[in-house]
Amino acid sequence: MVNFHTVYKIEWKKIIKRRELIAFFTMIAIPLLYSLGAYFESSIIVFNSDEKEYAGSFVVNMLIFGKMLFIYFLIAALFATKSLGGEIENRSILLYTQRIPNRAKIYRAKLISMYSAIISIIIFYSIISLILYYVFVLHREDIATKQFLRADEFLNLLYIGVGITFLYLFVISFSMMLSTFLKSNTATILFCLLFIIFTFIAEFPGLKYISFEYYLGELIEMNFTSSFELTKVFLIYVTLILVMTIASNRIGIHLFKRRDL
Amino acid sequence: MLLKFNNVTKIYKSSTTKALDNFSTNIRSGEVIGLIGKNGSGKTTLMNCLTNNIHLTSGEIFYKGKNLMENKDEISEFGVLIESAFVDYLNASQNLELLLLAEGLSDTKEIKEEIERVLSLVGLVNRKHDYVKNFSFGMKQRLGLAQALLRDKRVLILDEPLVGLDVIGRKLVKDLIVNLAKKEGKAIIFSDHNLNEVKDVCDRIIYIEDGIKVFDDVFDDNKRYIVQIDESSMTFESENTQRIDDCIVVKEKEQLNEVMTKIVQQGIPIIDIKVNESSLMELFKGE
Repeated sequence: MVNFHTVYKIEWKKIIKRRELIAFFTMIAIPLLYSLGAYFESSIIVFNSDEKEYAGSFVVNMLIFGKMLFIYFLIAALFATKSLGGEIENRSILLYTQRIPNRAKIYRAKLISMYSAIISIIIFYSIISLILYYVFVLHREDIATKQFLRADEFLNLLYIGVGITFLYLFVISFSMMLSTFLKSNTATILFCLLFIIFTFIAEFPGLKYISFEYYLGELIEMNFTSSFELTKVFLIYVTLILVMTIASNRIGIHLFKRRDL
Repeated sequence: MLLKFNNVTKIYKSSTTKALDNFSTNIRSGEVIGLIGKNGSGKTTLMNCLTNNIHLTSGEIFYKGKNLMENKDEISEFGVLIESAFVDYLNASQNLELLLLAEGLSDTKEIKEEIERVLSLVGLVNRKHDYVKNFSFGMKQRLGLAQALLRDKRVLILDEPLVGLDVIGRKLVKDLIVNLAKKEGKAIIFSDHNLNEVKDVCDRIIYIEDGIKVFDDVFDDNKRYIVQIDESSMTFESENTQRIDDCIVVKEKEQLNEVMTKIVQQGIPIIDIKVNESSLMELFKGE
């Protein structure tokens, strides 16, 4: 019987050849265009902040841009639904379920390999943003400083970075769960609808507290008067997103184990 | 007994009819079983039950005396080709490599050798670096067979392995099936729509109709040519023929020609000529 590491290795070998993964790398265009725009003093780049940008805030701002451009969540959802639902549809999953009868192991290996891919992409994206900041943005002394981090904002930036990463992981888990009982494209569309609904709910006074988008929005606003308040909002957000991620994974494994392929 | 099906029944959630209804049979090592039946008769469902792709509604399958549903790891001893499926963004060699990893093989040299071996068997060794998405249907079918042949399995389950193959390809696969069963003692279950293809290769034929097994026996082509002659010519005699009342029963078509020539030469009036086929042939033609 093959161990989990081998199943993970198989999934990883498949993932690195997937088109969705390549599509993720277009994310780099965001910091690249922004930093080039700033460097050449393009009129498209409008800097509104009272305080100057520094490296850490630039990296996190680029992550926020990526989040606002919903498309990368859509790609993450496609990544997940094609990984499982796509293989169920084209029947290639049968090659593995017959050799690895423990379906939960296959499901978990798919999840962990996608988590690893997403985390690697976010780290890569952050490093590229950092490099671009020092290469291009720093030339604009009117908007940028050499400073790497600011102590008073460090925790908030860290929470935003971790929060956005967790959101991607949830998108993977939730979409993959949907693809255990829906066609991959239907699962992706349903994910998009639900994501939009949660984003809207975050704007409704009574309902906003059940939406992860509300808490992440609060973290991004950076209007906290104390680190206690900031940490409290972060912990609520993380708890909410973790509960939904774990629930999605459990339901997904249960459905995948039970379904006829 | 290597494999034993005991009242296997499958009802899909989306349906109320039985896709497989109390199917029972035994399969020995070295035996080639031909599974035939029209579309939707339950052939693929049976194969999917055996490979744990679908869950049984009731019944049991035993492999080497162990209940397969309670010992799912045993399924990895089966080589399977059901609806040839691939990771189409990988090449032939990469597809096989992933499967070998899933089989627990980790030595790179061993993996390469095994890939070469199975690709040679199916005549695809020169296409190992080609992407599967560029393969023709027949080539995909061959690659599917290569997947099933990986690592010398004791049982081969082949769902329509001849579909899409040209004459040479069909002969190659049929010879391979016979060799694997007779020389290496593998049990092989293979399905096809064409009885003529199946009967050449199989020791036993199972015919399924609407999920129910209606024939499970050694194939004996009981085809008989019956020539009914005029009663006044009862003295007619010929070698290797059987005489029943006013009928002459002939087994081989060549003999029929000889008998007919003699009858005509002797000026005996022919009342009727009939072909009496085996019960399986009758079933098959009834489709």
